[in-house]
Amino acid sequence: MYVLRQIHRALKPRGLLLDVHPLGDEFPVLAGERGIGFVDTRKFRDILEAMNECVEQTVAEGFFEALRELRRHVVERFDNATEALEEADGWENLRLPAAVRRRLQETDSTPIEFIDTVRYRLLRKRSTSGRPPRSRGAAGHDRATHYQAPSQGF
Amino acid sequence: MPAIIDPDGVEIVTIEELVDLRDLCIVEIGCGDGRLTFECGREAASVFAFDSDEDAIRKARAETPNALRRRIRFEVADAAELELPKGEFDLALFSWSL
Repeated sequence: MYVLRQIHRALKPRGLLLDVHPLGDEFPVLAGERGIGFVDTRKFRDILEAMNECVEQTVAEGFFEALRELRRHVVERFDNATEALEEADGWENLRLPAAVRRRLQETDSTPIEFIDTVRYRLLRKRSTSGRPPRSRGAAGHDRATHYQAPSQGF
Repeated sequence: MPAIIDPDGVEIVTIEELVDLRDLCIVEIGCGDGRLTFECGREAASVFAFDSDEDAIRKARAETPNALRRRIRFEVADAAELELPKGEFDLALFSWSL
């Protein structure tokens, strides 16, 4: 919460906050384009939940308003299974289930890919008086929308 | 060879779909090795990027493209302890770090 309030203070009026983070949803592992299982993200999701509560609290308290959100698949690609396993061995809040680990150890297929779902959440600073900024009109969820910060005179 | 994160360039396309980065003053919290910083820095007026990982910042500084060196500043800092200047930035980017 301290960091978010610091960021609020550091932003210009109506400045933007873009929060980019993996969701910990389905997190498949591919070997040569064939699915061999999923990463265990349960512990990571607990951390995410705590983090989301902080963001939601800043919205509820009037520091930020939520503008738009997108989700995309982002790939982490390895030349071979050995490198992918080395990466997984360094994880703190993610885990390769034993069956997936075994399939990776046995495969010769390349490349190896971990496919994460990433959320891109755009918020805008509100004045601490809690008054909402002037509306720029409705933005449809299906339309690509560019939000320009006040310094660009929108 | 280290892993390639986002080989298809999805992240910067998605960010640009949400925000016009041109000429923005950006602060990036948790920049790591600068992967997204360099992408954002191409269009931005300036990027102040920090991370508590000294090795990552060292790598980011070393790999900053020459054309972006005047626009991007990397610092080792902990978000919980850093005091940012008031009202300075158009965009705060938390990249996998909030």
